[in-house]
Amino acid sequence: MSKEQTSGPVVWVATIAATCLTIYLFQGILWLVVPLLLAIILYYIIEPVVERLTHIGWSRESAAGIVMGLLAILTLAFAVVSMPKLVRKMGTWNHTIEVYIDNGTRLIDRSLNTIEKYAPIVRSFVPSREQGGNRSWDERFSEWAVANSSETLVQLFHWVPSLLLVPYLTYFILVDGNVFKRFIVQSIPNAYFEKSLLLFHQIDDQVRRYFQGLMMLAVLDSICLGVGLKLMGISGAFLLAVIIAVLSWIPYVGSVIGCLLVLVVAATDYASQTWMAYAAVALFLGVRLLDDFVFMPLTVGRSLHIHPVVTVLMIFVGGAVAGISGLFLVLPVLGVMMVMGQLLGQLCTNQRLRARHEHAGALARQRAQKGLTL
Amino acid sequence: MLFSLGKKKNPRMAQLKGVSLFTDLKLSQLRIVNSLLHERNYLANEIIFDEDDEGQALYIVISGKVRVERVGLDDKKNVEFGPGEFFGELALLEDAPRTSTARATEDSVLLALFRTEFLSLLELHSTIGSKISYALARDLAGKLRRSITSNLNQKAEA
Repeated sequence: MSKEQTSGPVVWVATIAATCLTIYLFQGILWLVVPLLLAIILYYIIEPVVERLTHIGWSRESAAGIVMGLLAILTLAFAVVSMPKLVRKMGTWNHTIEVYIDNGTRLIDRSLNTIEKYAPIVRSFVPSREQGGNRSWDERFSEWAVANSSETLVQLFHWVPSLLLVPYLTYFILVDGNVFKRFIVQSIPNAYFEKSLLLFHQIDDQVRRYFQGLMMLAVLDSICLGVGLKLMGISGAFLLAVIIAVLSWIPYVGSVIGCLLVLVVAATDYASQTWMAYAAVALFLGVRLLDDFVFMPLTVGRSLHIHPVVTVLMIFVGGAVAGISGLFLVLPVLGVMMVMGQLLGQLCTNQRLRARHEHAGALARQRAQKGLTL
Repeated sequence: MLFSLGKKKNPRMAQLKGVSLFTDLKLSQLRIVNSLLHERNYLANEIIFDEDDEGQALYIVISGKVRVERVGLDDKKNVEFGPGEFFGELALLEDAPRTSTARATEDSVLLALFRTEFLSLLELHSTIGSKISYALARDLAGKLRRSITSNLNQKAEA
């Protein structure tokens, strides 16, 4: 069997259908799916540290316990330090968001006016304040965003208890992950055993590299963007950089949202200097280019290998099927389904393996029927 | 196994200690190796792997008998492996197709050690990895010596 064997159209259709169905079903148990996914990501990130500790003689339980304990202490310390500041800011949150959105939409309005001045044809495509005396799109968007922001923040707080599951699940994946894997492997028939285990290893390796690379990429992005925004004098430069780096985990769509965030913050901090907002966007684009051509090949180089068109389409499908959670979940789920489809496709189409499996079944049946002649 | 309470004495350790590949390992090291092995049960006449399959694992015979045969080869040159012996060791060293077919001649219990797991052992527990590698090299040297002697004898007879 060729190593480069790829999935056919039937496998692809089944993979996409299974992804949509999974995303749709996940909607109902998001409180469990999100912590589980985060626990798997955290597992792949801290597993090398746990492995190093076991290498110098620690038991796996102690190594996992000490690493998770340290992580919990750090998170708790961060929460204790930042919570009072966060609570103080919550009172003015609505107003702050209103100011940011107002300044952002004003900047877009100013930019459109400038473009209209040099290219009057644009006026016919963009609805302006003067047309029909109605309120403009930016005013309506601004009102909508302000009205929904409080609700969104409250919904985010509902996730806190569910997120407490993350360290708990991570600890048990670290300690019992191998036992569980062996437990699953035991159920694979002998004929498919070697091939299946090879593919499991490939999946494990691919997912590990993907998540570890993604985290490394987020750190590099945050540092570059954070330093750049700090030098420009943008408020909360590093926090903004971290948010944008995490958003960029959603391909294409995340970058657009990240760019808008930079634009809005820069337009508010430098309301009278439009060029600073453009400079912030230029910095963002520069970091994105650096990311695509230097950091990405160095970190996530060997990732899921999904075609860009499929990626974009699936992001929109994920969004349509399961909203914001669908946007985040669709690519990891597609990655898993793709590999499972590839695995099942390869195993089911291998005539020799099927024949061997049937032969083993016939041997077992023959033995079971021994002495049962009528 | 998944929900067992407390530590029990594992009878597998004594069986592993008897395998030439692991004779140099301490009990604590054997436990680490044991956590990487996959137990498989084969019925008599069941195929374990085919000639030209992608070789991925070495198999250790715990009980039963396994015959390793090659199409077109003289029946005398086919080899049978019993408890404590291992076969398919080339799969640990190179990503190449299997050179022969392995078939259980009796109901057998085998332990499989995968190349990827062996490589991670070499990386993370280099002492264990090097001891197994040395034992493997010793075994291959013995086979090479026997093969050379056999060839020389055949030439002498001719």
